[in-house]
Amino acid sequence: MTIKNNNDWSELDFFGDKANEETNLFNRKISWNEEDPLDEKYIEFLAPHSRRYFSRLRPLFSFEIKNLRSLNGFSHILLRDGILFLLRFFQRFPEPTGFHSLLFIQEDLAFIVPEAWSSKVNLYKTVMYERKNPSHPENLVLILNLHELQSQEILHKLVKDNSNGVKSLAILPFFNQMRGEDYLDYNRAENLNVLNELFSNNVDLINQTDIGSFSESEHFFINGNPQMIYYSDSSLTHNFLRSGWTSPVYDTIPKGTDDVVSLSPYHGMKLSNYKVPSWQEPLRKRLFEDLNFPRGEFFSNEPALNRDVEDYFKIFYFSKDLLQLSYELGRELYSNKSGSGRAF
Amino acid sequence: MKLALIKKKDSSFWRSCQSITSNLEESYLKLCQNSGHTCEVLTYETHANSLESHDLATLVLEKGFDQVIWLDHYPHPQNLIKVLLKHKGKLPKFIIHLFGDFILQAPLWNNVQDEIEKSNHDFEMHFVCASQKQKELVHSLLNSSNSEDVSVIPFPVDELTFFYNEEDRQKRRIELDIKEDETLFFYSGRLSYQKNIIDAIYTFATYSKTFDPKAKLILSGPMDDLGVPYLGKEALDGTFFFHWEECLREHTDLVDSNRIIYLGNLTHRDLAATYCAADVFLSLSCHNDEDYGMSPAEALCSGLPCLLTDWGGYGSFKAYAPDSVCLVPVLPGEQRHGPHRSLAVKGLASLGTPQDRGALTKLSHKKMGIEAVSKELGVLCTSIDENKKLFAGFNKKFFKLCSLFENNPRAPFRGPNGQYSLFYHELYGAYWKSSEEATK
Repeated sequence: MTIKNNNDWSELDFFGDKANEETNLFNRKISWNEEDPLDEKYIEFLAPHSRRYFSRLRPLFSFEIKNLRSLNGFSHILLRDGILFLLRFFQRFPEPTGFHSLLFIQEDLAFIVPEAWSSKVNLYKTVMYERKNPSHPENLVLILNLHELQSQEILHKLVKDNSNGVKSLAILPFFNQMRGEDYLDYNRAENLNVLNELFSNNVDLINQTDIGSFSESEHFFINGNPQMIYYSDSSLTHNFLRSGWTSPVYDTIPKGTDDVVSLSPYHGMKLSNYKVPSWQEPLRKRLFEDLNFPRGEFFSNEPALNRDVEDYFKIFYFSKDLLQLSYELGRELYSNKSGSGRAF
Repeated sequence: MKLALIKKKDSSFWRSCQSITSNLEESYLKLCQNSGHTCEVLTYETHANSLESHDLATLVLEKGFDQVIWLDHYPHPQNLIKVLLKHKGKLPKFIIHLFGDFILQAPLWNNVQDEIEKSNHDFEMHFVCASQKQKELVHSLLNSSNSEDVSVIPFPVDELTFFYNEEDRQKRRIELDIKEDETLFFYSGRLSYQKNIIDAIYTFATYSKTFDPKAKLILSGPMDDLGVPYLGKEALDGTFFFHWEECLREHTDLVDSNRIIYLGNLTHRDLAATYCAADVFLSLSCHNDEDYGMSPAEALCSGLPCLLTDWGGYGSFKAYAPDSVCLVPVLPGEQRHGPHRSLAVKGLASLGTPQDRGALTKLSHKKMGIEAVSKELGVLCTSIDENKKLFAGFNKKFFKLCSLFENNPRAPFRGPNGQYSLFYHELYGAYWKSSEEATK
């Protein structure tokens, strides 16, 4: 590990007995952060992307964090959040008071980190390893996460941008999973409209069980989560990469590159110091200057999240306004990022 | 005779099962080509619901098949048998090829027995295992003292894909950068906890340090995170890679000098060429479902000597190729069984490349090739037709096994302290037994 700054993770132990013991404790969540009904509800809501997986970086969603002190038993953790939950996290904890660990967040979401947290945050991104004899698969499996306010325009662009030169396109769709009566308030018409549009392009819709008969030498995949609303780190992505599949979305680097924590023989996570890149500056300005995040009025009406029975009966522990803002930021993020020549 | 070959419409999730079903089908087709029998392949959806079972049963009865051959490990034939038992007339006889998941499917077989009892029908069924030890395990659950109630016929290997070819060996060794004087050990199959991959790496490392510092080990196949489901030990996705990485970090000298190489998933063609390129096949698996072993079977057919644990179906390979298979005793553990490592190291040292790999290919094809197996299947079908060797029901031990699965499906063999239960040790007694003793 080569880079050093205030949020120095170069001294972090990802390997060795002490680190393994911490990781082991982290994975036995029942012993330090028992899952409550609210966690269960969100994990289910985001399935299959939210499935837990093993990593030396200790991944979890911020909605699982009941208090910051509970994280101090670990030298570092990784937040799998998308825009929405990350906004909510920093709104709940505007300052890192009592927090003596380090966070890793997805590098595209660096613009959300408040100044007060900047010395406690570092960044990660998923990368694939170069292969000796790479195959050149020509059939695309597109994983689509059909959220209620997702922009049809972006999804269409996503399909269009990635269909060139592709022999066949199959879509593996997922909807948010609802519990109890939550489905009554859930607007799924938009999702179905998106599917309807895609159907008209004669796209194959497939189930996850169909993937078993596909081969990684003939197929590649894209986990279509361009706006990163609910999550930035999907276990489904890792399952595909772990099985040897490739995706044009992720950078390819030589195996053994510094500052990378491996998750399989084929992929890992590249770590870097916290820094907001220039293409994210407009988003940061919007959030911090226009809306005075995280203490501004716009954010003061968020539910208290007492994790009591009322929270259990509501699927949303965030306001509709915050969700709307997340979608807007997500749209801008996608557009700025692709405008800056990067894959989404 | 008119045979119905039934298999799942889609391929199995497991790669070895894909080969097994396809090769079994090929063997039966060959049998029919070379005899007066006829056969037809019928397919079943993955979930095999009652409605589809009804349609399939109607088809089986209308076409007047004499025997139904069950070629796949999943779905289970219970629904089809249930529908057929409602038919008043004569039913075809069933030949069931059992896979490694027979124990896992015990409650479903219990349903079949219940249906047979309810129907008062003379339902005739015969189990075929792929190895002697699996036969012993299955037979120990039957209400019968006649050991002929269960047959042993190996899962066939496609001899046109897996055979020794010197040219392929040389070419592949160049591709893999293996020098002429370097001994190449090869493991192919799932990389999983119960497959004892970590033991294999340690064994190789010790061998390399002690006997042959130039030796190389190549591993191929997908990694999976199955823990020990019989004990309720589940693992998060990605956990196996953690153990793999930890193990390789202890052997950085071997990794950095390319003497331990992981190739990932191989195509059939590359797999066959790698068997040719290698000098010894190595698998120290103690997996619960190791009823046979397609990888060792393919390796032997490629003229490659094998070092295997004396566990489950692996024992049978010693009988097929006594001079080219070395069996390593298994040491029982409370939560994990492993190979006797020092004997495994000795075994690696004792196995050399045979003088004539072509002869080993020939011998193995004679025992496990599609052609050879089709002849054995012909004998089996005739004896079944003559009402020999038919299923006589399950015994009390079997019903206890089903009850354990039904009461605690997530950890059926977990003892009071989290270890394997005494019942498990009794059940898998045949898998432990030394193959030499079994042969005596």
